[in-house]
Amino acid sequence: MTKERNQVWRLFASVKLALWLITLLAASSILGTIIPQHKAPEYYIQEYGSELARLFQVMDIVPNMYGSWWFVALLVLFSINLIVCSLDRLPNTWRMVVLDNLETTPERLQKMPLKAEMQINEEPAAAGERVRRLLAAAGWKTAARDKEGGVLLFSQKGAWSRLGAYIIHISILIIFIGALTGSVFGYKASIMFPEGETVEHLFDRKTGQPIPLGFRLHCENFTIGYYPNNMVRDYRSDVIIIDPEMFAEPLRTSIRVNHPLKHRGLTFYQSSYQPLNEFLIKVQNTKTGLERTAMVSPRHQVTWEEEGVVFGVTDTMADRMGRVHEFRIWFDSPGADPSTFGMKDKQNVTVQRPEADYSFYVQQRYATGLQVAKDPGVWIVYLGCGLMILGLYVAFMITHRRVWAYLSPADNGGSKLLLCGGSNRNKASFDQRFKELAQRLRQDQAIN
Amino acid sequence: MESAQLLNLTTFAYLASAILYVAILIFGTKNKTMGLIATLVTMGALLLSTMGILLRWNEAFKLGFGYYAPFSNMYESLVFFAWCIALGYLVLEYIYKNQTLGAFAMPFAFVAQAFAEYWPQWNQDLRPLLPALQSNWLIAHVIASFIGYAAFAIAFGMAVMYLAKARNVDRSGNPDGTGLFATLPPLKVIDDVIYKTIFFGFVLFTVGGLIFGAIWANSAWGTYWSWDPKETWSLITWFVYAATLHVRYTRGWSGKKIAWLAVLGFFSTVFTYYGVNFLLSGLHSYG
Ligand code: HEM
Repeated sequence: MTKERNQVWRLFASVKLALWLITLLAASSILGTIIPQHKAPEYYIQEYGSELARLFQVMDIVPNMYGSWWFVALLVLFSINLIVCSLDRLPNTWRMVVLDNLETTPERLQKMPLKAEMQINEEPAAAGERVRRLLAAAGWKTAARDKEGGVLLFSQKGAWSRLGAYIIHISILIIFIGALTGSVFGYKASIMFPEGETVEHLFDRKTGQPIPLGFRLHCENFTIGYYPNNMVRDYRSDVIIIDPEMFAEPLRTSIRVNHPLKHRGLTFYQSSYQPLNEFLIKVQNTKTGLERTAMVSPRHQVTWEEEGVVFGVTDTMADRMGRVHEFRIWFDSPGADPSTFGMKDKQNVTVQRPEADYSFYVQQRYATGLQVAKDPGVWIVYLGCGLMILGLYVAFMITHRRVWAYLSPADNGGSKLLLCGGSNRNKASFDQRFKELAQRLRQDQAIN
Repeated sequence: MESAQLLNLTTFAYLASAILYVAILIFGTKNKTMGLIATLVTMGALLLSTMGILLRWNEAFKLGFGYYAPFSNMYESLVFFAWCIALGYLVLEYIYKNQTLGAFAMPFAFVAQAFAEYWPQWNQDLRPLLPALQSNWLIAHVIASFIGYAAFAIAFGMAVMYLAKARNVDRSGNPDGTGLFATLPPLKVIDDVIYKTIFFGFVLFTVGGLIFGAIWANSAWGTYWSWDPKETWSLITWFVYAATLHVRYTRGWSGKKIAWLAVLGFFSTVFTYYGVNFLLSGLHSYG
């Protein structure tokens, strides 16, 4: 039993399995980019024929391969592999990090990759103090221990850089946990609602079911901004959050592409819009300053009783998206014949009539489309990303460097100095630094 | 001077640089003047390209685009890609003090730049950024990814160099190579360059390509990962290089095997960068 357990453990502790899993994940991911995902069943039958389409369906390659049981199983195996492999090796690495490097023997020091030997005309204790000072001045703070009639000094930097790979591996697992959290506890939804309206529900993207918001969201205005060359610069919804539990006053804010709104764990993204066949018209008597605002649809007339004015939109010219750029307005007031005139969206036009001048403003009404995401896992994912950056930094930028200085009594009453060291990567640059360090020691008049 | 002219000139400067380095490779590194000229021409090309990019930025600003970054379409990204290769190569030349590397790096800068300038498919016009592209995360994402791509391209060049020299060494039996191959750095050094460049590229690609990309996607669409072909291919490329680092570090692979992985990784990189947009675009609605 334990033997079997051991075998399973060993399998999952092997980097070989990891390489196979990575290869399999990469290869199957390619499949999902070649066979389009998330299409209707008819699409696959049309593109690949009914037999191949059946096969794809049975193999769970369509419509969502990346969520299929076998792809998820690969990811699970990959995670287990990562956990077991790390647990298996961590103790050794940890021992390396906390290793008592003063426990070593002169014989082992002799085998270090970098070595320099020198003579000092002082007995080991005094020479040890001298070397300690010199090393400290060069940035290597040492610990010391008496050893076989001599003194051993040791200093190291970046021992924990050996943990870098583990930080990276843990970060991958954390990202998986975040993704899982998001898919279990979160949802994606959307709403489309016209300017001037208030919503209290969202609609789940998968099921289409309404989800209560818990507060009210009102859309004041939807605006499309343009560059001087008429390309779209910006989509913006000006909204009001009405949430007495959180804010005493309704909160006015806006949602733009790349600038989502966050409230109560929900994030609202500007994602689409719809021009409506309704128009906001503002008419003002320029003499008295009296004003009337109305929402009209084409060919419905509005009467402003106090002024005896009647107006309406008779015709519009729209682009392919349904955005109206020109209106034809019909207007009548006492004392003259009705007139019609043309005007552009969001423009002011003044009409002269016998009794007064009237200024006109017209604006098309839009509905704004918002994507809504509830993803309580996203912070876990970001935490994982941050850890991964940290791990990459530690693993790639920081080197574990060690320096020993061993002073043993020499025949002439002085001492012999053995300076040695090594690093776990960037060997060429540590070589250079080691040489410089030896050079620096030799400059002391007592050392040669 | 307009940016378009400067960037067009850059193409010829890269060409001159590539030719000079190939000449140095063929005629040997003895001639110091030629070496100096090659380095100066490369620096000049980099300067031209830098000015071209900055000027283009300025032109966009004058046209009233406001928020703009000159990395927003295929044309501009190729120009920047070539820029990264040239800069990366100069750094390598400085570190390794060896100009034979240039013949395996600068031709890529030239090809990328010429591809940008002369491929009829690209629209070179200045166009303002769509709302979704106006994001600092996107800019960081693009810059870091392209530095990563350039590192992978250089690793590929070095791998080709390694494989050519290794073949010569195997055939001639001479561990330093014969003729032209003898002037190339020792195999061990090339191996080290390949490994370090991949390392460097991997870090930037992870941080810039995957992490910043995910953050941008989340701020623009509300989903940090949606398995669209471009994302998926980035992941595949990432897997290839992660596997390369692991076989190197834990299984002690080096030399030819690593060189072949660098070649494979670069094919995956090119597909991620270019192939996805043009071969899979018919299938997927990737914007
Ligand atoms: C695709 C995801 C992975 C990434 C990005 C990754 C990344 C890394 C990195 C950057 C290193 C450091 C390499 C170096 O210092 O040269 C490393 C080391 C290592 N990785 Fe991974 N890794 C991944 C998956 C795995 C898996 C699934 C295993 C499980 C078996 C694994 C096992 C190891 C081992 C054993 C080391 C050496 C650690 C040491 O002894 O210090 N890796 N990994």
